Amino acid sequence: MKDPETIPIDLSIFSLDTVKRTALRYTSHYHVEIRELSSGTVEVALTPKETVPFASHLPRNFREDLLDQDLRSLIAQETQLACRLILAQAFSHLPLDADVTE
Amino acid sequence: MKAHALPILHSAFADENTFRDRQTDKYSLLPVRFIRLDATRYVATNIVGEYQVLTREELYNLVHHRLPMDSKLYEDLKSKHFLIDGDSLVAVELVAAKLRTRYYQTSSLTSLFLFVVTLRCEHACPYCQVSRRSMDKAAFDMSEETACKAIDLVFESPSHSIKVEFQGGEPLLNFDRIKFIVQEVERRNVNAGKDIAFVIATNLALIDDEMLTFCRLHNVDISTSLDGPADLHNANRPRPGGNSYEKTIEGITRVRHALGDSKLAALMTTTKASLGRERDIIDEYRRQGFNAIFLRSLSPYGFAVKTGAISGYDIDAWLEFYKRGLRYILDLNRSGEVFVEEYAAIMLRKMLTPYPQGFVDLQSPAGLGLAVLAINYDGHVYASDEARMLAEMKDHTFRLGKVGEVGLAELISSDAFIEMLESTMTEGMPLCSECGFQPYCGSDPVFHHATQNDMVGNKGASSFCKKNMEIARHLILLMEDSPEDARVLRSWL
Repeated sequence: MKDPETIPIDLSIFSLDTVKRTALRYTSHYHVEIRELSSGTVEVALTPKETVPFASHLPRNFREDLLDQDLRSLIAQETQLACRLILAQAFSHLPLDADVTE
Repeated sequence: MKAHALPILHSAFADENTFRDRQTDKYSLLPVRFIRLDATRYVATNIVGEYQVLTREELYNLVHHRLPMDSKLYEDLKSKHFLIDGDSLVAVELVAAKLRTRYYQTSSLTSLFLFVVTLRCEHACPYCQVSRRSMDKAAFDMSEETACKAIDLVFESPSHSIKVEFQGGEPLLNFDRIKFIVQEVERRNVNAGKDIAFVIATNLALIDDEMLTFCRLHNVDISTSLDGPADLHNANRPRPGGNSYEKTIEGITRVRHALGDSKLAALMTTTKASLGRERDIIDEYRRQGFNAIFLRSLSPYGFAVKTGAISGYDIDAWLEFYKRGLRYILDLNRSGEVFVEEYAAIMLRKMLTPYPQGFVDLQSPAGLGLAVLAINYDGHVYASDEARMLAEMKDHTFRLGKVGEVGLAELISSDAFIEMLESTMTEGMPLCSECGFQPYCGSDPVFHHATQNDMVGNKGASSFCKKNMEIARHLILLMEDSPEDARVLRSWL
């Protein structure tokens, strides 16, 4: 088995959820392991699968993907309510200001 | 609870507080997905598929609320419903209306019924997964009894517009059954009053004057196969006499003469021998008077590939074929000839209009079963043509039931059907749910089941995913970077 590329990540900057979602994008070409290094720090280990050539820019790509994923998390947090409103307005016959308690 | 946070959108006029409290220096994001377009740019899409190309800095500024509100980019994003501010609260209603339009066809349920009237075929195409060379009619033809039960299923559909498509094998080998079905559907439709269309998918080798007269009298369309020039077509489609191409071309001429140009369409299949010959194939379509082509990839699974009857190819090779073919077609258009690549046209309509396209593979939930049902010669009902092909490899995962034993309501409310449908909803799938191309794409559970033994599949390893993402990316790049190509592509809407 090839040696893994390891990428330490500070969880005070990126959430564990963001790290996991980013790592998921690599599972088709890499064996992925996420392990705790110390309190507040994790390490993502990416080991190329047999048919995948080792990519020297892998850590850089992962960190850029991590930044993108962090943006997605921010968007999801901010737009969660708007998304529900749009879906409700689109697929129910209720007005947006309807009282739905009854 | 009351939705107090909501703006009052249904009043004709907002109260004065709405205007007094408006904050003119702030905006809120509406749901947005994004994906990298190239090394320096991203494409962001909203919930209804409108897109905006952004630099990384612009994307970061958008998400972090640092976009200058007096910039052109801000106005573009606001007009495309990526954000709302004090002046654009009504955007929520507009987006909802567009979303409802986009999903509208899902509510009309099954409108396309594939009748596999026989598995027999006089061709022996190596990539075909279903045909039988046997002449045993009893074994591989649809019986009249099965046909009647299948017609019952058709008229259970709530859809007003119905298309009945005859498939095979070679359906003309069981033309008597086609005639029976067409006449019986027409008879029952006197009371039902549906808008019904008929199509025969045929290689045309067996078409004769009697069949053409019937097609003309009953308004039946013809869809045929044309894989390219004679050497390629005949290599792909061997038949006794080695004259498939000649028979197809003769048939095309006869159909046009008897039924008119508008009643004929042709489809091509890309085999390994086709790669590198995109110009020859497109020129053959032009030579035969077609003004469009659907550049289709071969499913990289199935009987033919598995048995080694035909060599498969990876999706990267097909994408190169596709891009070269599209480049050639764009250049033809730029020189004044109107010629359309159909797959690009479908995706462009998804990108640039709010209207549903009805293309089974590129919708969420997928059209399998919801939009189309395939009724095999033996009466078994499958969620798609590919699903019944998989069944010929002894995999009955997508067999939904049998005509006469279950009705349409039972079929589409079964646990098996619901499970399959859930597995196609890209809005909630890992990776798809965050993909900037999600509004343009779909999911094929048959493909992923066949290639990954999982109806959802790992999208990062999926060639279905790679194909559609790469085509979407390519089309947006063409529209962004070449005004001339953009003009041509927009003319295909």
